[in-house]
Amino acid sequence: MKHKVLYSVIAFSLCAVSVNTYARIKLITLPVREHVEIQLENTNTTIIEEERIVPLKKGTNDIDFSWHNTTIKPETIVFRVLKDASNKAESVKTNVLSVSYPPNESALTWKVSASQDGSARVRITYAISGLNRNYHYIARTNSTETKMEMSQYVKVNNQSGESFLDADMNTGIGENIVLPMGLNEAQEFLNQQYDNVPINKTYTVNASELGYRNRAQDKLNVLMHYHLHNDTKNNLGKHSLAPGKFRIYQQDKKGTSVFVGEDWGKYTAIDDEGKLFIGEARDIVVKRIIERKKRQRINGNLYNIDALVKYEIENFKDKPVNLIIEESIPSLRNEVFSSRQRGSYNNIIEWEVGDDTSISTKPLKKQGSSQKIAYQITLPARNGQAKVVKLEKKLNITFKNEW
Amino acid sequence: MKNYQHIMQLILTVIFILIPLSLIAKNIDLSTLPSRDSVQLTIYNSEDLTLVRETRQISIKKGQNRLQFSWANTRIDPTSVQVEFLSHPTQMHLSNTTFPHDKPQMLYWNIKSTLEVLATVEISYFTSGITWQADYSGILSQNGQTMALDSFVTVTNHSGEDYENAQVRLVIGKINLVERVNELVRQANYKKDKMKERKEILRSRMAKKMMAKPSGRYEMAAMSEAVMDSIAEEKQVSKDSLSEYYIFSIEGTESIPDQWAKRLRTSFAQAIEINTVYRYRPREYGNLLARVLIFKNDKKSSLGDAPLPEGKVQIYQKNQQGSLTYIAGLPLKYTSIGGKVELNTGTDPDIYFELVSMKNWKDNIWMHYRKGNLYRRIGDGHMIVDHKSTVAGWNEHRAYSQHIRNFTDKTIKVEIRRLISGDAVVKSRLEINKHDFQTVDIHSTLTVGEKQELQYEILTRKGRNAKQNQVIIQKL
Repeated sequence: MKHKVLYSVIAFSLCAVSVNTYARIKLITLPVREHVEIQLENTNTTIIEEERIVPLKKGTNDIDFSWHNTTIKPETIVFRVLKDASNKAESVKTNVLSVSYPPNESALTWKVSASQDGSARVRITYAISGLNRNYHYIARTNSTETKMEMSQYVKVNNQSGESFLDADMNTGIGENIVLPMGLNEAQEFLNQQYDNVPINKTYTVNASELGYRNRAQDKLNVLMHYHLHNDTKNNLGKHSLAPGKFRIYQQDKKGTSVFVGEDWGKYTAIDDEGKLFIGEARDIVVKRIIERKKRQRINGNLYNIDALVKYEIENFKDKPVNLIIEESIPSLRNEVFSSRQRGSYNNIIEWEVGDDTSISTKPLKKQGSSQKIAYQITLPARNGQAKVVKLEKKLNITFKNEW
Repeated sequence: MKNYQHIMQLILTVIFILIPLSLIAKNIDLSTLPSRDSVQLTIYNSEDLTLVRETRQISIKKGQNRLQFSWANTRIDPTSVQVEFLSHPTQMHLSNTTFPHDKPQMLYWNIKSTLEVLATVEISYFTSGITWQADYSGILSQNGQTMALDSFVTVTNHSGEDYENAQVRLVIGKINLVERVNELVRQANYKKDKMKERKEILRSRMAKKMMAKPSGRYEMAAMSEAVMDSIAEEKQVSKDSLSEYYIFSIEGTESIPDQWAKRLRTSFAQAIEINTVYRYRPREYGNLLARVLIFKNDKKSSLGDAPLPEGKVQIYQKNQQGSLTYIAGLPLKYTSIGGKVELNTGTDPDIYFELVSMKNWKDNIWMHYRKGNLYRRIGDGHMIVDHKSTVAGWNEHRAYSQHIRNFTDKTIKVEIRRLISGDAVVKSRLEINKHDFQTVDIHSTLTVGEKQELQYEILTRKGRNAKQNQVIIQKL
C-alpha cells in the first residue's frame, strides 16, 4: 500500500466467526478509491468525498474505517450508499444499521445489511484539517492603466497526514481540476483567467485615515487605488472573487512588465465593486491646512463652531487625474476643539457645509455619511514645461449646537 | 480481556445455605454464577446516570437463603442496588440486607422462601459511566429550500462493564438528583482502598472465573454467519412520553462493550422545508447578519413524533456536481414537538449589510438660568442672554440608512432587530414593529440583485427633556 497511513480499511467478515474471535478482521479487502474530490469551497473547512466500490455479502456486513495519524474530524463523517444508476432489479439493496466506535482507536465500524451478494458504490464524506487553500492573483495592467488581465491561482497545501492521488479539486468556482495531492505537498493551479477588465484609477487623500506625507509641510499622503467592478459589463461577473493577494504588474513602453504594487483583495461578490491599493503617488501634491476656526456663542455654554479647511493641489503628471478628497468629521471636530475636553456626554456631531466652500462638485454620496464627507475633483494635466497649476479648494464646515 | 472490569465486578454469587444459617456464617457451600437472562439499560442524558435492570434464574431452597452480590471495579451506586422476586413474589421475601464491613463493594441478601424452586429475580441498580448523546446530519438541497435530516443517538459505555444484548432506553429530560452517582462510587472506592489487601484476594479469585467468560469484540460476534432471508432493516426507535420526560426505546437488543460507543439512527426526514432568514440580532448572534435556517419539529417536516434532544448538527449542502459542501457544525437546542429549530450558519459574504449614519442634529434645546432657576427654549423668543446659562435639555436626531444588497441568486428575507436606549421615538416610512419597550423589528425582502436603503430616524430626548425609557414608533 502506497499510503503512509493505513487510512481506509474496509474489512468484511463474511463467514462464520466464532464468538470467541477477538480480532475485527476476518477477511480484509482494500477497495481502491474510485474517485476522490477535495471540496475547497468553504473557507474554513475542507471536505473530502471519496467513492469506493465495496463487495457485500447477503446479510450483515461490517465495514471498518480508520484514520490513524490523519486529521479527520470524526463528527463530520457521512456514509452514503449511492444508488445504482442502472436501476437493475438485481442491484444490491442496502441499509446502514449502526455505527460502532472501538475504544482508543481512530476508527469506526458501519454495520450494513445487503439484500444479496454483490457490490455497492459508497461515498464517504468527511472534513479534514490541515488541507488548506488560498487564492492569489497576478494582474497585468496596460500602459495607460485602463485595462487589466487577471489570473486567479489557487494553492492547496496538504498537511492533513494523508495523500490523495488524482483528486478532483473543487474550488466552487469554474471547472474541477484533477491533480495528485501528495503528503506534505502543495499544488498550485490556474483557476480562472479574466482579460480586458476595465479599471478606474483614483487618488485619495484623507488626513485622519491616510495621514500626512510631510506633517511639517502639511502635505498629505496621496494613495492610488484601482477600482474594478465584478460584473459582466466589465468582463467579470461570472463568479465572486475570493479574497487573496493581488500582485500588480504594468506593461512599460518596451513591452516588459514592471511590478507596481500588491494588496490584499477582499471578497467581491458578483456585481459588487473591488478596490486595490497600489501605492503612494508622489507627483500629486496636496497640502491641507485649517485656515480658520471661529466660535460663535448662541447663549450660555452653547456654541456654533465654524471651520475652514484649505487644500492646495498640484498635479505634476502629464495626464489629468481624479482626486478624491475625504474629510473625517469627528477628526476635524477634534482638531478645532483641541482645547476642549473630549468624550463629553454630548456625543453626536451636528454639522453642515458652510457657504465658504469652494468645491464646485457635489459631495460623493457613496462615501458620504454623518461621519465623513468626500468630493471628487479632476486635476488638469501638466502642460509640458509650463508651471503646474496650483488649485485651491476650500471646505467650510460648521459644527452646530456644541457645548 | 479485561477481567478485572468484567462482571466479575458484578458478581452474583448465589450461596445456598443448606444448613442452618447459624452454622455457615462465614463461607460458601455452593455458589453459582447464573448468567443474565435479560438486561435493560435506561440511560439519562441530563445526568451521568443509568438504571440497569437485569433478570436471572436462581435456585432457591426452602427456608433461609443467602445471596451474595458484589460489584468491584464498576461504577455502581451501592445505595441503589435492589432485588425483586418476579416469579414467586408472595412465597419469598427479603428478610434483610447485610453490608459486610470488610468488603465494601458487596452485600448479602438474606431471603426467606416457602418453596424450593428455580426463581426469577430482578436486580436493579444505578450506574454511572454510560451516556448518550444526540447528533444530527443535515444535507441542504442545492437551492437551500429543503433539507434531509438524519437524527442519531450515540451510546457510550465507560461503566467498566460489558452489556450484552441489552434493551436500551434513552430518557430525555432533566431529573433531580440529590447526590451524584459517581460521588457515591468514589466514596465507596475510598473505603475500598483501605481494604486493598483483602480486595486483591477477592479480585484474584474472581479473575480466574472471568477468564472463562467469552469476551472480545461484540460487533464481530454479532456479524457471524449473518445470512438472512431478507435484508435487515434499521432498528426502529419508539418514542413515548412519561411525565415530563420522553423515552426513546431501541428495538430489540444491543451489545455495548465497555469503552465502546454505538450510534444508531433514530429518525430520517427526507425533505424538511427550510425557511432561510437573514437576521441582525446583536444580542443573539453578535454584530453580524446571520443566515438562520428555520424549520419546525412537526409532522409537516416528517418529524414531530418526539422532541429533538440537544445535540450537534453538521450541515452540508449539495452543490452543482452533486457532491457536498460543508456549511457548519452547530449546536441544536432541545426542541419540543411543534417547536422551531433555528440554526445560525453565520454570515453570507454575498449579502452586503451596513448601517450608515446619515445625519445628526439637535433641537428643542433648553437653557437653564441659575438666576431665578428659569428654563427657556432656544428659538422660542424671550431669550435671556446670560453667559452663565447652561444647556439643560435637548433632543438628538439620528438619521440612519440601513444599506442592504442581495448579491445572491435568490430572494432573501431580512429581519433587523435594534436596541434603542432612552426615551426615544423612531420615525420612518417603513413598517417598524416594537419587539419590547426598547427594541424594534424591521423586516424586508430583497429580490435577486436588489439594493435597498431602509431609512429611519431616531429621536432621543436628553437631559430634562427625557421622561422615561421607552420607544415610540411614528410612521411617516
